[in-house]
Amino acid sequence: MCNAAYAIGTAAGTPITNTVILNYAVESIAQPAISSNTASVTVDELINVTLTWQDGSPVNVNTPDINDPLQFLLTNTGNGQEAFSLMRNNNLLGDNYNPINGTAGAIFLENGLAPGFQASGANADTIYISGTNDPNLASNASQIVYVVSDTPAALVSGNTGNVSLTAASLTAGVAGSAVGTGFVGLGSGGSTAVTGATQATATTIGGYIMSGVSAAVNKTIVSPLSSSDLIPGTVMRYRITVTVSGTGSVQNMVISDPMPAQVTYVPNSISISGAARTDIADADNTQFSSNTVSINLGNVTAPASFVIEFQATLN
Amino acid sequence: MRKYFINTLLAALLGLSLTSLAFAAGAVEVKSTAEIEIKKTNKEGKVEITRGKVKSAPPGSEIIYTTSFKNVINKPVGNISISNPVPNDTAYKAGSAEGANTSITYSVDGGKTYDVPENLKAKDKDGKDRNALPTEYTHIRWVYKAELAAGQTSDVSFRAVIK
Repeated sequence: MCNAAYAIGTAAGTPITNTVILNYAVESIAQPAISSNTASVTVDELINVTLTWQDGSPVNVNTPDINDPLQFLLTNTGNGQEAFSLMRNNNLLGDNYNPINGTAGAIFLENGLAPGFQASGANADTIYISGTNDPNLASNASQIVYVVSDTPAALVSGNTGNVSLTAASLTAGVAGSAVGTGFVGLGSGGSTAVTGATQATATTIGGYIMSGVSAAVNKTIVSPLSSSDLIPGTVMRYRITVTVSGTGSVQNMVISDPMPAQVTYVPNSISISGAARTDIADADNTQFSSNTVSINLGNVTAPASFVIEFQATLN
Repeated sequence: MRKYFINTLLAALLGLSLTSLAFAAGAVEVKSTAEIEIKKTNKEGKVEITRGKVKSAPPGSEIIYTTSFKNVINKPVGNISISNPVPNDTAYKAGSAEGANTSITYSVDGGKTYDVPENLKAKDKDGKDRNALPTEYTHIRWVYKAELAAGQTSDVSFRAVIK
């Protein structure tokens, strides 16, 4: 019944008329042409909708973060005026975390004042309220929709969070019904509404990726290997690994490690990634003072990692 | 011949043309019907096609147009030709025109000229002639090859898809 060649189709409500002309002769004498009655067929409203995610790749977010938009394009691919409801779902499988509805609002409609998403200000886009400002689109018209999310804290770089957006025709009963189902009188202009190939609903997934910078610090004892060897006088080797991951840089990064009362620092035992350092406050970036080992890594651009080692004697 | 002369004279005297005098109401009744096929799966799981009149249909629907014509006088009617513009907002479905005892030609110039499909040309992007596509036909014409006897009915049909 449906032909993909006519994606949008003749406008709903259009009358299609057919009148036939017949010429004839009686006894070889041509007679005036005769017109038939006019057979008329009215074009029904075929309800179709598409939704595309327009960011192209996951949108970068920090952890935590607020009000990051995903951009979708809602298009009425039916042949009549149609209104659509919008709904988001944060709880999808196959990602690392659930984005949170944005502090500013969960879904916004582009109001055309300025390109891109604005949560506030003179060009602030319009917050979507179901049942109040559902997009009502002419045939082939589109509306940019922003799904706006907050990002939880303590994510790891590379974590992904997906959100799906669903648009559904607001003509009663049509969304999700079998293709070709007819709803007499519910189409635009009083025509019959007919469920199109998209079943009058569309769901599209967009996603975020945690790509802000993050630093991880881990401290271990590398020798002695066994805790049974920890007797007074034992020299212990500590290792602190610093890993900066994600995208961007960490500013003025300083690692400080105060010595506990049970140990005594071995002077000038500190090294960074195998290179020896001194304890005094000088040109190198380590020092030992106030019973604390401190390492000034300065501005570190991700990705980077450091292995810091020093020794202490068990008292 | 003498009778014909008298008729002509009479018509001239009355200020009427011969033809309108003869069959003012028309000797043929012409009726156009639009129908659609509806496919339904029956209890045995087989698809049944039923055909019925259609008042409305969505884009992509195939409409079957049938023209029936009946001779309503007591003399045979000849030289019957039926021309049918492809309805607005539809495209002719290739190979669908039918009609017993007819020769069928098509127009791509709004009904000025008609020809068989292989002779119909359209311009391509570069302005060169190419064979016209069935979806480019503007009119269909059936020429009935015989006389239609008094009281006899015949019909022709074609299919068009709503754009």
